[in-house]
Amino acid sequence: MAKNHVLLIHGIGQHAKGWSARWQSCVRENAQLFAPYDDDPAGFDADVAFAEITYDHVFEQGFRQRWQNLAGALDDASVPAPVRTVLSELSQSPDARLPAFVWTHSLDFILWYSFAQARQAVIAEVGLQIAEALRKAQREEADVHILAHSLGTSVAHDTLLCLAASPDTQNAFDPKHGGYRWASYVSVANVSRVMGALQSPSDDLDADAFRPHSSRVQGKDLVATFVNVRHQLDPFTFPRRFKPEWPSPPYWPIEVDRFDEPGLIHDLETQFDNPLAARTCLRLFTGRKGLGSKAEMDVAWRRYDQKYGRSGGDLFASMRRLLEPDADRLLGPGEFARFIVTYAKEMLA
Amino acid sequence: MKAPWLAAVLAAACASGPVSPPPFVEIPPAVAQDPASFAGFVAKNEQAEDPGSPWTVSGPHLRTAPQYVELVGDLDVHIGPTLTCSDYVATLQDLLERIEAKGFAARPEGKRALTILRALVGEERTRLAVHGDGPLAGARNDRVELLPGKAVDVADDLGFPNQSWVVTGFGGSDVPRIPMVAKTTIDARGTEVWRRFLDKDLAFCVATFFDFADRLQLATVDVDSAIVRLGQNAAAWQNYLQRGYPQYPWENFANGLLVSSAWDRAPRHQFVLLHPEPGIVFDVDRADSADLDLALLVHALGFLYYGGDDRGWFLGASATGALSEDEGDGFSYGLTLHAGFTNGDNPLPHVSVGLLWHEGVDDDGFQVSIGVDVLRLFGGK
Repeated sequence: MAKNHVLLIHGIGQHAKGWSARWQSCVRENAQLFAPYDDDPAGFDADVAFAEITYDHVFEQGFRQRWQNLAGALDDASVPAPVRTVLSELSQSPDARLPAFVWTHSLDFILWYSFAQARQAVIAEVGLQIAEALRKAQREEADVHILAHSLGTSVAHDTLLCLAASPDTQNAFDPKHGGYRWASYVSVANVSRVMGALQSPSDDLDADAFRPHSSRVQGKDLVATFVNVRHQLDPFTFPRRFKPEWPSPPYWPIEVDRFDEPGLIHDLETQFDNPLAARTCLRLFTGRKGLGSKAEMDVAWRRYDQKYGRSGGDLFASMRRLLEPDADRLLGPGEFARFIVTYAKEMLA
Repeated sequence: MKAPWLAAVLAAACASGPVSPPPFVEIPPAVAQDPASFAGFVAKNEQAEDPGSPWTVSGPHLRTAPQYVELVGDLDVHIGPTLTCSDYVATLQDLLERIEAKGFAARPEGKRALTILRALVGEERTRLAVHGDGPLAGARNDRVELLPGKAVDVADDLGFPNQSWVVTGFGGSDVPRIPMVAKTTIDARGTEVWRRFLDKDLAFCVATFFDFADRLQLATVDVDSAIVRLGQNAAAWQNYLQRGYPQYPWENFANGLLVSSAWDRAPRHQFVLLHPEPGIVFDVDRADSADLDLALLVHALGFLYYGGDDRGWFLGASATGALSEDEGDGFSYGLTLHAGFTNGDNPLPHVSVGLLWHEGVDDDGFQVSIGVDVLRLFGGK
């Protein structure tokens, strides 16, 4: 029997092949709370196939590694002290001061947001992977769903728009030109507004077309159904929060409030484990639109309450204060950097 | 076989007492039989938690049902990119006639459903007539777009704020929708109640008609051509960024601002800006002595051109300053030519060859500088 396909698009950080194992296991565990998968865990894999979409190698091989190699090649050269400091950081030598997460995580945000060519190259790479995944699904007559997290929500947003707009690809990706309409798009920890394009990455669209609240990445346009899952305490969704005023359906916003560790609030698993989020997504992914009876939801809620014992509080208040008086304003690069550093400090504290 | 964690959760759930079913909820008349939206279809007054197949399943689950297979299993059509407009319309007509033959017209809801299906097939025939035996893929802008259901928001006094009913079904173009189910959520923890429209046999036929038409349409989406173009595009970006002349962060940033490009158009140009590079220099006047000195080359400002659709090679020049390990040579300055292939399968290293003028302690004169992308030479990228 054909399966529905779910494309998984990661957030910041390094993602080797197989990176989505934790996500998949989270989705499967939630599926087992509901019939028919409670008595037949393998049945879920008979209904759903996952495909990883990976783009961090563009940042790694196009930027991070090249900088490291360039600076490393100058190790023995006699250069002035200030230059030596810069080169030492770029080569990530043992005496470098910047912590590793700046290179492996924060840099992804910076490259995507500030380096136009990085954004364009990522879209080119993700566009190809998405197209290949669609072709595979098309041959199996499967529906295709997209699940994106954090930076991946901005990547997915821009890529879907670019694919639908280019004359070379719109016949395949714009429903108005007879192209494919994605069965559903689930964004978790959506940062597509705060990471919005400063300049258009496309020759066919102007920058305004990439504003997430008004772009074509909406239900009944490029995607059939749009689900947005957000944790109320996720600091990355404080600035320029994604909160469109779209009709429901086809837009389903789901707010999550419980957590175990503050450092895990942003994670996909913490947010997907919410029974409303899980059920909504599983209905879409499996094609079983009535999945999740009241009895099963009661069990799911008990599990959720046990697993995530905390909610509310004044978490990340210092980050909220940084955004006052208007969290919806466009952050400058300095403000954004300060925001990220404050998060790191909160985590270390 | 249940997972151990699930067994534990279920045990805890059972220990906390039996779970009561959702209360019965009256469906508002505006949802149950809205003539404007649903052409007079009436929701059944039987509440269900999950109406099940065919009302709430789609795709593979529907297609393996015996009713689905019986209806379309032997239809004479090839589902694929070569499907013609005339075959597409003929198949829909064939499917419609099979549904008509089941005798639904004797029932009011069957009569309504058949009227809508006939209207859809008729509209497709009219729209696609101009394309004749042409491929359906080439008639994208003319065919009827099949649409999912319609949501109806209804305020009521059930006590749960902002309650609304969601009605899903099938439709297309401007004809009324055929509703399949209505659903509402009655508490903050997602408890739902459902109502069915249509009897099971009719619901199967309607769901099958729309799913099969959708399959026919989607099979003609030309993804292959898009992949060819996207593959070339991704390769051009890889050649430029990962195998082109390497850039420092400030060069990446500046080129992002100064060089025209788009996601589907990798840059043709690259500026070189304050780019230090290790190299060797030798004095032209003493070329026969093979006296080579290590040097730090700094390409202050340069310009490169990338050729080929795949950005497979580059050529350019930069203004260069150099300091060699022989302090007596002093500061050198001049012009450097940069060239290289960027294809992944080309082992030749990038080369920078410069002609520099140096004003040393003992003598002045021309030097030749050579910078080689050593990493590429030894198999790196």
